[in-house]
Amino acid sequence: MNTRDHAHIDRRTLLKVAGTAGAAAGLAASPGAMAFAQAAGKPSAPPAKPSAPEIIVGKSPKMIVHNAKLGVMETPLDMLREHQFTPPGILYNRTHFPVDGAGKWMATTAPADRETVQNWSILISGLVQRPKIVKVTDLEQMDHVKRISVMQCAGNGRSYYWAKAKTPGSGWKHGGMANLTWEGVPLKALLKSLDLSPADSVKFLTANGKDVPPVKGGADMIKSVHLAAPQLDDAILAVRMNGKPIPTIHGGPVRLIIPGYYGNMNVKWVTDLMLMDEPTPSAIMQKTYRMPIMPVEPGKFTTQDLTRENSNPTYGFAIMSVVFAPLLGQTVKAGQVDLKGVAWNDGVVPLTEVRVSLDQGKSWQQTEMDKSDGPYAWHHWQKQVKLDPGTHEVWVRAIDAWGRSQPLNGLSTWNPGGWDWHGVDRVQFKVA
Amino acid sequence: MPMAAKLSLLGSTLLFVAGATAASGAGIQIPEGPGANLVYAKCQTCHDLQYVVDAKGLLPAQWTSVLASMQDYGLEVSDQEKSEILQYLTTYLGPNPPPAKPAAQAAKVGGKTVYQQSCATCHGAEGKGQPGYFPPLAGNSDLFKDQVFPVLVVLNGISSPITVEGQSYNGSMPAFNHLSDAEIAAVVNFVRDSWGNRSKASQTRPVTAEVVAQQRKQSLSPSEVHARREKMESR
Repeated sequence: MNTRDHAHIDRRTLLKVAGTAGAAAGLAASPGAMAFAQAAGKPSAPPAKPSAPEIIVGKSPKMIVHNAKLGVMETPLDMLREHQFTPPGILYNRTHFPVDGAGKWMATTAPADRETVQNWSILISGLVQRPKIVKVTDLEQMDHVKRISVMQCAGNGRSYYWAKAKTPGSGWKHGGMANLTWEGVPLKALLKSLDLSPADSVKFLTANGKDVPPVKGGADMIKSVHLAAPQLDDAILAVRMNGKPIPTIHGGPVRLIIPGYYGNMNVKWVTDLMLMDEPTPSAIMQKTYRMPIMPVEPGKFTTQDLTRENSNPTYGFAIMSVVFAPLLGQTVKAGQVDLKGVAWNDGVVPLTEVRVSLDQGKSWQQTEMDKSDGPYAWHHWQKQVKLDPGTHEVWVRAIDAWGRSQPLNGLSTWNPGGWDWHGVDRVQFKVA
Repeated sequence: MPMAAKLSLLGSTLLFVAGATAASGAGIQIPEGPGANLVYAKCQTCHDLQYVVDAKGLLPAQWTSVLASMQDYGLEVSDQEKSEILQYLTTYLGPNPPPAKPAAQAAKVGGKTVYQQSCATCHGAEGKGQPGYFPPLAGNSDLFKDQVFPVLVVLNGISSPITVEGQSYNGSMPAFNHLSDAEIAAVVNFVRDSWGNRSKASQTRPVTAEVVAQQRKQSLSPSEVHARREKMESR
């Protein structure tokens, strides 16, 4: 680890001295790394995995990078738990196309510049008689509403499925989530005010953003949602996140926010909204981000077997709760121990309780829950318990008004894409 | 060795030389084996190889499905290449990979073979490129402006957008530093000598493995190579 830190400092220092990255183009790496590269010959010394701020300007170097080229990274839980509203510097990211080269414009937590905002418009079309164009500057002037909601990657927690069988995709732990505030224009009211005159057959809203595939003919990041879903009544075209213009990497200047829905449905950099009778045929809608509706076995059913008939897209969040304290492997003082964490669902009905168990699910105790931030926010729960020295394991389980809850063994819902992990969180820690 | 231990070994190798490259440098290594070069060549256009390493242990049906998904995402492969990649992934990154072998001595390689395996997907079998995405190599004057510039591009990749002969291209090129010094020398010489480029070939000396080894010592990021090109253009 030390070698890594030193090397980074050396490189940064070099860049600083050189003034600009461009001027540094000819500079070699740190002396230590050079010596190693020389000694190694072929096979060449593998280049380093870049750190988060080198991939996306403004991200904390402590972010866990899952894919450098795509800017995929998650938040360590010890940082996530410190904020009620996750700051941009530690907010997880999933983008679908490279954030280098032609995609470099995305790779910053800074908001879009004024010129970009002034030139940004959204074409609202599809099965309508009167397509309209709405400018972001118009959206900025309209009345705004605020949503407090969990944002979560549909793949969050995927690595826990790997205890049963490997799936493709990044090995997310619990850090592919955040709690955020969004401000913008209510979607349905806006559509109504535009007098589009949609066809009776319209059932879906299809959204596309400015990001484009890096190769010709690649599936675009286009998403379709059912207009009749309850969360669509609360959807907004957001222009602000946590009280400020939306960071570019997180979809600024304008992002479709459907509270309670997985991140991939909250299309970033919106340029097109279409009212349609069918969902988009894009593979990113029809093959990726889908789960079979029946139990399937690893290797016998793959993502290529998914059809519209046998699967559902990753729309609303599954009900879920996570332990924020103690953290996995942590040692806490004997006596009164504070168990804390957050819980959430898709916001359609309220959470009713969050329970914890310290005996592998034999008995459960109710926790105190704070629901004051509304149906889509994460709800803090806590419980103080008396614990003797030794190794303990806390399990946590949320339940909502429809009786929906989390499987005691999350592996029972294994699916070939590794989506929607919501097994009971089990966290082992020590009391001393 | 359990998978976790292998990954952590790989991780420590990577950490040791951290700092040698800047942002967006490639650099995830995959096990050596027939077909590995195709994976390096085909997969890094859109994502780095962390995905491939993370998916280690997938069953054959799952790897087949992954490749089909990647074709949906725009991966261009011939049937022959697809079956070679699949053979590699299911063998070396399947549930029961063979123990890692010491690197075999590289056989003598021809530049044409390296080109076909590693370059032709994007730049075309005849070096014509793909309009808007990847520039042509046939008649590309970048090849002759500087003795070592093409070597730097192959070793480190180059970021986009770039303008070549008046046309703009948005595809980014990943580093091909998994190729040996001899392979890189051979492929650069092959490109400089093919598709009508030969008439200009006398402007540059043939690249040797020693030249590549020398250039390999300075590790650049794709954007640093891009900056180097801008400088070269303005000379």
